[in-house]
Amino acid sequence: MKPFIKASKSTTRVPIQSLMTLEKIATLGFLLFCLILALLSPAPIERGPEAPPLEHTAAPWIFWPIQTLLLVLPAWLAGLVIPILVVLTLMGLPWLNKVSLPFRFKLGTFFVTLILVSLLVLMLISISVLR
Amino acid sequence: MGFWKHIRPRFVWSSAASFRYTFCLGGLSFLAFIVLALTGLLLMFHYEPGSGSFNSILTIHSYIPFGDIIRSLHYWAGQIMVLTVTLHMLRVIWTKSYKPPRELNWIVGISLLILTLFLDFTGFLLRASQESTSAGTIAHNLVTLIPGVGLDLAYMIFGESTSPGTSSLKVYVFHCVFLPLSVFFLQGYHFWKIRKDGGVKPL
Repeated sequence: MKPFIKASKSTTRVPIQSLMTLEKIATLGFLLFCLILALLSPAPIERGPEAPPLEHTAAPWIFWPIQTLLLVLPAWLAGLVIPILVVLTLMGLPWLNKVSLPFRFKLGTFFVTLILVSLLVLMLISISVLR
Repeated sequence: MGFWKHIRPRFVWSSAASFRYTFCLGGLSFLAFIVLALTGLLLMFHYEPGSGSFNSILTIHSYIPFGDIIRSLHYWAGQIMVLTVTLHMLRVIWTKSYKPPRELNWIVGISLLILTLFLDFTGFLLRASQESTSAGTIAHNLVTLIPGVGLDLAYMIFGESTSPGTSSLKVYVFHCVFLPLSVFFLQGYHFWKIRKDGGVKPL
């Protein structure tokens, strides 16, 4: 069976110990980083049932894009159709990759730029709507 | 070749050991998952789903030895996992590492991203604060919009509607059992397939 990767001058096989050393350093650094974060910035405790009721609430940061869409679009579109389309588009990337673009961007660069610009636009909309 | 020998072969491509190509984002996501599993297991000893959930969080935070640190580690590892999984996805898109023969592993990766987001969201619901109850109501209402099965699906996921201070037992089971086990097994497959498909070097 033909290998998927052709060996070149820059692609050689190395003992796994070199990868394991890198993994150990990353593990220690990561654990230390998490511990420092936990000590310096404890997990928040939000409003309990006996606190005065909230006037409006903000979603956790990972759901800001959906909250922003819900503020400006109908719920069925913002909460169901758009997220499902985004997921299907992402899953279909290996097949979309065969489509040639009519401009000079590479497809990987195009999609990463598209995702980052979409998030930036949603953040700007969120700031202007919630202000 | 067995599963373990695929994950840990004697030799790997030099590119797999290069920090600058992958930034260890997949590995860091797995590490965050391990931290989440361990701290989550410890939190399960004291967290009470149902009507006492908010009070049990206050108890963990204030009275249980090292409870606030363990809860904070769980919280931050969760935030970091969402971030590293998202950055990992962007890196894979950037380097076009989803191209054949890696289509199936790419779909598994996207599924892992979605499951990670669900894990984060169900964790947020279990805080049983006013904020999380509002978020739960919004998510419940969105699921009911799915034509035909929406109402039944919303009941299956969220159970009875909750008020601030209480959390749903169903969400608790999803967060502690179903979602982590799904992520664990999919991660195993993901790592095994990466090695089987030829490591992390772009095609």
